[in-house]
Amino acid sequence: MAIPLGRAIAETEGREVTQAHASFETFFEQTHQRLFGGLCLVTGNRHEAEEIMQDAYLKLWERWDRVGGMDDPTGFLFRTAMNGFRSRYRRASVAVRRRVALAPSTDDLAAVEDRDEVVRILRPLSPAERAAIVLTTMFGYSSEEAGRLLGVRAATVRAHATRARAGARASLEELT
Amino acid sequence: VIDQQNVERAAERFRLSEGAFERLELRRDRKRRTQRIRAGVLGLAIAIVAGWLAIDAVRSTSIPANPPDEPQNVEHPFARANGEVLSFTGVTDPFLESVPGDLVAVDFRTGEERVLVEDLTSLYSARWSADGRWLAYETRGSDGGRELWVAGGSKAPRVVATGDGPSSNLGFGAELDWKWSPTGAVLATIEHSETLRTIDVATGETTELEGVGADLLQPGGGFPRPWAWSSDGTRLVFASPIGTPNGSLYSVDVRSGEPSLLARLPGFIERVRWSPDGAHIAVQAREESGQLYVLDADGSDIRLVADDSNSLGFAWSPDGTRLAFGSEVGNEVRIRVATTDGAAPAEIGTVGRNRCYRTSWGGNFECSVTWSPDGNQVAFRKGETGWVTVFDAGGAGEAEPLDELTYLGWDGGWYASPIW
Repeated sequence: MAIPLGRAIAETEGREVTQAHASFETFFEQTHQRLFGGLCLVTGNRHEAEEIMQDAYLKLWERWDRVGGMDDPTGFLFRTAMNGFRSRYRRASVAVRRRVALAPSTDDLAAVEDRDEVVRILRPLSPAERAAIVLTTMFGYSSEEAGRLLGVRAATVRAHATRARAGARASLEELT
Repeated sequence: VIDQQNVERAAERFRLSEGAFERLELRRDRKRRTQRIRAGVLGLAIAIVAGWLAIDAVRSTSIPANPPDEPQNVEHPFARANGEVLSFTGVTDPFLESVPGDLVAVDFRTGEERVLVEDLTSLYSARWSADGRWLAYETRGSDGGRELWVAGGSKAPRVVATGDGPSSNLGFGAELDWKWSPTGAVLATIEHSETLRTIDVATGETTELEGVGADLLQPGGGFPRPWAWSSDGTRLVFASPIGTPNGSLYSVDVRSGEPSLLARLPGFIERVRWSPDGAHIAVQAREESGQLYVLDADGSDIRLVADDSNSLGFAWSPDGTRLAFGSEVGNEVRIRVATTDGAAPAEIGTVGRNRCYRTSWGGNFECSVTWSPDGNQVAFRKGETGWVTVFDAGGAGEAEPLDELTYLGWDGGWYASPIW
């Protein structure tokens, strides 16, 4: 039976700090690409996605002795990242930073739009709508769980998903 | 299109550049550095504030601020609230050892007490000034003599007059005597039975009235001096010491200190009271029986109000037009009200004579009379028991009991038993 990654890492408790560091780095290498991709779809911006991702990993790193022992540290990572995303949008800090040009305001979805139908469908949606889609389809959360993570009702999450799928159908009809 | 497989594939199109973990480590290091800087700045700020507070505390203790001359607080700690009565929680015995206590103000309506002066070893009497802002109280000094203290505003209580101990075993005739003026806050004091002064306690201005001879200031065989302020606070009235036959009544101008003879009366004068309107003076005298006189403020038009009784206290109505008095007739005390026009006094009620004592020279212990502030009722108190009976000043209705605190509130606010 495979031992969950976090638990395996937690079993190194009491050893050298470098071992804990190594275990976190392993966890990072195994999970960061998927989280980054999801956040790119949600935010539409690589820099912002990496910032949110780094914030989430730093939070885990500071508590790695405890988080590493969890059954599902990856789930905890995703929740932390989505909390960070929600906080940012609530404070509208990203918008402010865009105005003062502290973060590049490129539309990275546009760059891959031609190559991917999903990206093309997601692009016109709001970040909150995109987050609802990514959480429920990519990360496998239920509407209720996604609603809790995003601070909205489950019905709202379902409405976002329905709108995205309707957009997809319309897009396909255009192509055909 | 929007399913897990397609969304995963779409996400995979976004690849992080090389060195993602190194960038994370750099960010962690920056965060730690920022946290350390913030902690250092916070610690420095706390250290500066703590140091400033410590220096301020040291300076405050070594250089006390000068107390302001005038009270800064609206609430003066010694000022009288409406209807408050002064009381002493200890026991003062003129000759035996006293029980220490506090001088307190008691609200006669609620019974609530507030401490004015703590931990006094003795207290003979206490009175508020007419304006209610100052408090005078008399204690026994460390040498056994009397000390008159004044407290008010933001100033600490201070001794303003001293005298020797009492010259009679009843505690009367002390070498120190004092009265507040009916207006403002001026004290008249008699020290060592030979020096008459007025003290404006607000300004500290003291005036010695040298023109008043020592013969008027003697306690008269150990009995209370018959003297009083005029209602406007410009004059004092003195009578010959008790026991002096054919007593004389003198008026003293408090600015010049010069006395002038007002009237001569048969018998000796026991007590005098100026009417609140300033127009008349009531005099309690004794020849073979007790007499009560009313005369005009200039000493003219002397009227005999009652001559058939031993007086058990008398009091002017608040407007100064009527005089209430209790007199001992047989086994009862008759409460009567006289007007100043010479008409016969009207009896408004009677109470039993028990618990009202008189001495051979006519002094009255324990029983006294006062008016309600509205002038509609007259109250008679037997101080030893605290029994108070109240009568309608016009003689209508039934006599009713009254609580003692209310009586004391009406009577100026000192809890000790009135002696005359």
